Amino acid sequence: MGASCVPGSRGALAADGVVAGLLGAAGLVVEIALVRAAAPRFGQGTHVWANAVGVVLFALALGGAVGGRWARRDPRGVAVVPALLLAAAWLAVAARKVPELAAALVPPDVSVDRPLPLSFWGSLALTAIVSGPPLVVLGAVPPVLVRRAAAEPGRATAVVAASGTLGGLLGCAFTGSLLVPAFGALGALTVAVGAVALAAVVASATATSTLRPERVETSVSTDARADAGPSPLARAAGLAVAALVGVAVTTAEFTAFRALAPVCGGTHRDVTAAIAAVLLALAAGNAVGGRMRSPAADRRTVTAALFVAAVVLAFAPRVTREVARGAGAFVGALAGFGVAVGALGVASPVLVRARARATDAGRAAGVVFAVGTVASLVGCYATPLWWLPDLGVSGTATLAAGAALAAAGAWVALRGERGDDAAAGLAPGTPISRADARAPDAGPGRRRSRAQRLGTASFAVAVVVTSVCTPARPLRVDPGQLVEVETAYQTVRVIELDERVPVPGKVPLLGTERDVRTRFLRFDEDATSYQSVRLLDADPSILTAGRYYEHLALGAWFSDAPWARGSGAPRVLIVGYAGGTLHRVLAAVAPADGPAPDVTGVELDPAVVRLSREHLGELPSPLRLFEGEDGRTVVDRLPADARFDLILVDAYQRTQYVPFQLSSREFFSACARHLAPGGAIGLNVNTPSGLGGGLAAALAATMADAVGPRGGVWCVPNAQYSTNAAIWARREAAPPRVAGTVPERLATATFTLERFLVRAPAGGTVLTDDRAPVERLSDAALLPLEEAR
Amino acid sequence: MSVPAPRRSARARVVVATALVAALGAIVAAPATAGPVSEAARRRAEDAFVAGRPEDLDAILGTGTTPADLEPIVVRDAVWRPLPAGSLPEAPEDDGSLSARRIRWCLEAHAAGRTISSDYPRARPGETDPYPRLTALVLDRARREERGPTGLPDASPIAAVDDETLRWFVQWFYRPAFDPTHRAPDEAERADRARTAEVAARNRTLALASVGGLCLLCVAAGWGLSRRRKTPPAPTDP
Repeated sequence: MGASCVPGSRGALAADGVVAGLLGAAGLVVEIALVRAAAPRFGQGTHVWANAVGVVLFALALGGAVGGRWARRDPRGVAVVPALLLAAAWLAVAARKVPELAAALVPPDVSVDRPLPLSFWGSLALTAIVSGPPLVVLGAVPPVLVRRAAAEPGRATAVVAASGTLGGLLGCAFTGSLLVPAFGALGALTVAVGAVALAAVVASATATSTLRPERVETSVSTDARADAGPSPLARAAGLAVAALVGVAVTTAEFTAFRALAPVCGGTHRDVTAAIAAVLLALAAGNAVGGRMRSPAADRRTVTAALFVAAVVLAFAPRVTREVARGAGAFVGALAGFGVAVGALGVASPVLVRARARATDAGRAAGVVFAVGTVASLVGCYATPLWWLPDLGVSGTATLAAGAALAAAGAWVALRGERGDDAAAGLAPGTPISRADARAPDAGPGRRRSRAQRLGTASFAVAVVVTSVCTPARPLRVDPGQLVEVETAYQTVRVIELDERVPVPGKVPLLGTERDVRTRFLRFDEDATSYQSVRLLDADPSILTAGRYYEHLALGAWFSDAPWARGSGAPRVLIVGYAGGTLHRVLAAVAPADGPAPDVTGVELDPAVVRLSREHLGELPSPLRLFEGEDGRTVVDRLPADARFDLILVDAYQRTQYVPFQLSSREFFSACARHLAPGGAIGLNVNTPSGLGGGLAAALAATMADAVGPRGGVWCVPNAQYSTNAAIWARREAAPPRVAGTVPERLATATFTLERFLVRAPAGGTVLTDDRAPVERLSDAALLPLEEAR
Repeated sequence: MSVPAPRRSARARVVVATALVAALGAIVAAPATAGPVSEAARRRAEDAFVAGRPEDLDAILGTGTTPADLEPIVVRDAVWRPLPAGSLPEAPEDDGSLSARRIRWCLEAHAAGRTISSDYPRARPGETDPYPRLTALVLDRARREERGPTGLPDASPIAAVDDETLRWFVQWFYRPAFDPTHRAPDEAERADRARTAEVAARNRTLALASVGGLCLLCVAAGWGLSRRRKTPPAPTDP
């Protein structure tokens, strides 16, 4: 580093900020890339993500606690560089073993498509083994950086925390959307290795920063600490504030995404914008907290900030959605949850500053970081698994507001009892020299020698080069696999094999079996499941051998549809176009001399469409395809007079979940408004536990609510592929009827509708934009089968 | 979205049914003869309807003239798989029979845009239903569409019909569709489940050990860092 990085200088603090930023970015890249690298075995279920985020936060919290002690023992942070190099080396070696480890944890001979018990424990083990030790180091370093910084503790904390947050923002925003598609998940992990190694190189330049005793700040003398130590209650209350703020911040982050999804959809672009807004606000809050100096200013501003956060959080979902409607995801998230999170971010540096008056800054930062992170862990598990499913978006935001309010209350009450410092868990302060507060460990330091810095750089480069030069290989190889592509959303494998399928005979359901050369698009953990299919060398009349696509395509032959009435082409909207299998079936069952279906498709992941074109064949026309867009936003954007005879919803995210924003009353109401007279909405749903399962019942109840009392909803279980069902909703009360002119190719689907269609059972939970626990319902629908296994 | 492949038992039931396919195929394929429809032809027509081949009715019953001859065709075209208005066959002369009442009911329903309902005419005391299995299918559909899946399959009218084809249909398709717990796992599935449970237990142990190990590592590090140095470090820079 140059002259500006002379130990103890402002440049050194900036360099430490760079180190914190790199580590923040690396932590998030590891978290996301690890899930993606193991997704071909574990999937991306809620439990898998919760484990990843949970282990990362847990390791960072452990690191924070260790870092506090480390800072006291090594105030100049001499051991930061070797520790970071060790972490980079561990990550470089372990990351390359992820595919093998994941395959060992979900062995190929366990042929389950949604391996819930295996993936829950397996993902926990894998994340702990691969990322646990390096993340402990990543969590331990920030307190050391705060301790060794020449700046006042609050300011140092602000720089370190804000830099870490901004780094995390970059990691979070670009790992899924940029790094993984460009380099693959293992490549993204290599980028994380590089970030850690680079942090080590930067840290080596300022590893022995010197304290500057001439800079005198308000603090508490060691004598004062000895004479009037804080009461246990005050100490606990200070930590309670940190914990409540941690819970509120994490809960607000999760809730922000959920609040925005119905307005902005679930594309990476929108998720990135929301993350950027919230984390930028958090970093800004950290910076504001770091700039305050006097206890009185601290007192007033933190009190005000916590109250503001509580009030804003209570209204954040509505504000976010309303603003996002006109100004987009970034501004919406910033206006609602961003303001609240920014206000919450003020507290952390102030807590460290106040606590540092009674102990050394590193220890104070370690404790505050650790407590806040552990509390974030609670928010990270509880929000997606319990609070959002049970309380909905507004209820969860209110809960976060309650946490902020409780933090404000604790802060105010204890300040009233024991003065400002007591609120931070400290004794009343007596100004003394910071240098004195840092004695006896802090001594004058010297910069590392050129040889040491060269050695550090060489080792870092060696780790990165070794990692980069390891030959890339697929994350998973299945029999018949042609190609594996990691997209921004999932891993897609193109598989070609002979599959024994039931071939319809003269009598529906009574056919023979035959090996048919078939190509599949399989996503993530799909073992026998698939997302798109094309039968290659079979009789084209077989279509998809009775798969659910035929049952949904049957809607084009309902007695009120244009083909049946001889009135032109059916206008079809397919939400969840994927590889276009539904469209191909629709085109294949068009009347011999009639018009082809007029299809509008929406597909979130453009790479899936590209792969389909390359490996499953060209898509039929006419087709108006919205690639890289969310079905919800496309439906909301449709012209008011747009009408469809058939709206088919076959959208899934993370392989197994109906997207939250595509399952609500508001979404189906929007669809119903665009139905032509006699039209129908068809939904493909997983029903491994039958029609009585909570997911099918809830979706049917939601669709019934959307079409109103004059409409009707019906379910059709698939007799051949018994874990699927079609749900049909119409604005007419009469159940759907297949026209007498239906082509022979749809005989099985027709027979199934005529023999199995039932009025949807009443009593399911109506899903709304505020509360739609689709992930929980989906997992619950899978669990009975998996538990039985 | 995802769809798993058919289960082994689904394949098995297709194999089991192969003989039935051949038999039904032969029945359905039998050519219709000119003149009044015989009892045997009506039986064949009902077989075709039960087997899901209502499009074969024209070939079997197309020459019929009485309401009993045409009942299945009118049921099909008016309410089961309805044709557009104006495409329906002309109603035969009303002879006061059960079939005539049904034909009238179906045509009225079609004209009014109604579908099958539970007030579908049934045999009065002393009347013989010429198509008891077809009637059961119609009433089954009315029940499903009016009342939903509650009570199915046992509460369905088709469960009470003593007919080999319907029994087969209920056993292999209808019951599994509405009562998924009915199907017992075969030996291969049981082995799969045992293997999965075994791996899940191993993964749980490994996960707990990994997290525990991480905690221990940190506790050890914290303890090591908390120990007081025997001698204070000498200043490294004057």
